[in-house]
Amino acid sequence: MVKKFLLMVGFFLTMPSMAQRISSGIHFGTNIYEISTRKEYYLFPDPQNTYNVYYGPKRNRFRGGGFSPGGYLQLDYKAFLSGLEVNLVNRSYFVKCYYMMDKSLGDRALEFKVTQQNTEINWFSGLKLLKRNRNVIVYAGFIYAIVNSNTEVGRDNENSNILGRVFMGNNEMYNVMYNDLNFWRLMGGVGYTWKNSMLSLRYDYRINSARVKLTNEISSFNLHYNLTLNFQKLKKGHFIFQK
Amino acid sequence: MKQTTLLILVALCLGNCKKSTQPVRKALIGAPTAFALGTQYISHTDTTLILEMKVGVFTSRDREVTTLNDSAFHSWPTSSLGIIFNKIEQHEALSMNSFSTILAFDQSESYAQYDPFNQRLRAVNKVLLDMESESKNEFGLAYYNRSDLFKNNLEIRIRDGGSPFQVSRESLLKWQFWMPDYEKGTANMYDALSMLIDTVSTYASNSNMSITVFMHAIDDRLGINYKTIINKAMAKRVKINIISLDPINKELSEISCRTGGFLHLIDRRTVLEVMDKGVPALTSILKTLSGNLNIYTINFTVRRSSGTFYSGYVVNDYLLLQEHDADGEEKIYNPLGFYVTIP
Repeated sequence: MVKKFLLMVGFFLTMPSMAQRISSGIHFGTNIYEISTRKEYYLFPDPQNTYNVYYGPKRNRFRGGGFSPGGYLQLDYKAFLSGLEVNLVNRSYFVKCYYMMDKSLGDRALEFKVTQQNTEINWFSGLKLLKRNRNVIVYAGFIYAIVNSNTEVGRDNENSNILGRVFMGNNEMYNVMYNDLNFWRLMGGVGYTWKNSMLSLRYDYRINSARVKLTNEISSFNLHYNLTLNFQKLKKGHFIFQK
Repeated sequence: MKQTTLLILVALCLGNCKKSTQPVRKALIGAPTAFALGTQYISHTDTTLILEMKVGVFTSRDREVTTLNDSAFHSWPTSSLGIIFNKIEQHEALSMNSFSTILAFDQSESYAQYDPFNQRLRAVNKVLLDMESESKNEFGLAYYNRSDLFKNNLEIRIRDGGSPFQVSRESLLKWQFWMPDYEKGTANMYDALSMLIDTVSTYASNSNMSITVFMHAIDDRLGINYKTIINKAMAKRVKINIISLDPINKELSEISCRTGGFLHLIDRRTVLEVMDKGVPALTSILKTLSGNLNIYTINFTVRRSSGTFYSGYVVNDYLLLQEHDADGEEKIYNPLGFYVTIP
């Protein structure tokens, strides 16, 4: 399924341009703010992965970081636009929580960092709000994320290895913050275009379907920059949509 | 257009890494440990007494003890009794029995010297996960301590209707999560047992009823006498199982042996080693109580240094299970308590 989809994207990118205006270019994105929430203070990781039980804030907010280079293809028709992006996305997620030690040691603050690398295919549609060269665009769409790899590191803030005893595994947050299954995101954003560039602020929300359900709900704000490398304005007689 | 396509294909190739492997759960700590499942009177003469003890052995992943040599069994170093081992046999699993038990944690003083990293929480989580596939068995949680002279604490996690059984795993774990906060005072073990016997006998639906005490301090003697507890437990057919992290006490042998429970004594060597054996003792409750474990039957003769054996004579002592590997490292070390009254 994924391979077919990628082949279609490849075909789409190399086919002759047949719209009013078709542009393509490169794309850079970075994650600026990440929000992860769960329903209760207690965190019961998947018992398939760990016997630990944690306690912590229901909501974690953090600077996500990461970098997502890629390319895009966009079709314009009057005030409307639609496009595809293919990005290689590196993201990091953090979970802060506590583990209860003996009374004399108290609760122990822990931080888990999950670094996920995905190939993401974004489909979006939007609307140009102004009729100028410098324009404001609102858009929304779906992201299909193909998970390439996940790396989890658990860190005890005071002492990562207490007397040679490490109780955390490398998969404590599996099915809490991530898993190996491909997933969908909803996204929406607002962008500003000038010359051959667009800067946009994008919000995305990971869809927690029954198949790839995580304990936490994850959403984020991202900053994206699109640079058009080439475009073709189609001549009369080649329009898809007749004026 | 071609440049863009090329860039996208490069991105795809870079992203086409192998996915991470399926998660592996970090194993709980554990060291081989053994416990007494009960001791039976066989026969006696004026000078000899023959007994038979059943011993359960749990092994750990990194230190397997699949077979114990006969030489692993010893008499207790300070015992005045002479012990001769007649026959040591290994048996397959016993029959499977459904059970109802309440695991009662001693919350007196602090576990700083025994379980500083709160391994109990992980161990109980494992027990509860194992229990999920055993719908006929009933399991509850409680803890006890005497926070001051007049405060006799016994907390039992119950569901609507007052039953301590069939409480959800998450509910029990949430409750147990904060247990370290309530560690204080002395141990009111016998007072707690008295109340727990009533609770178990009221709500248990299985005839195999028991209370499993996980303790590190002996009773403070401010309440009920242990003989009263034994009589009450025997009258209500409630077994008392004991997992003791430190005290090697003859009262414990009497309580567990007379009520038909098991006695798991973990002699304290080092701070960390205590829970190395305590965790398997806890996590194996399901196997132990349902009789699904390999056991050794130890037939041995007891001789007194002076005097004779007669009807009504009580023997309350220990055997020692100790074995070393080829490198001289201790593989297993456990006192095995026994209490027998000659009929």
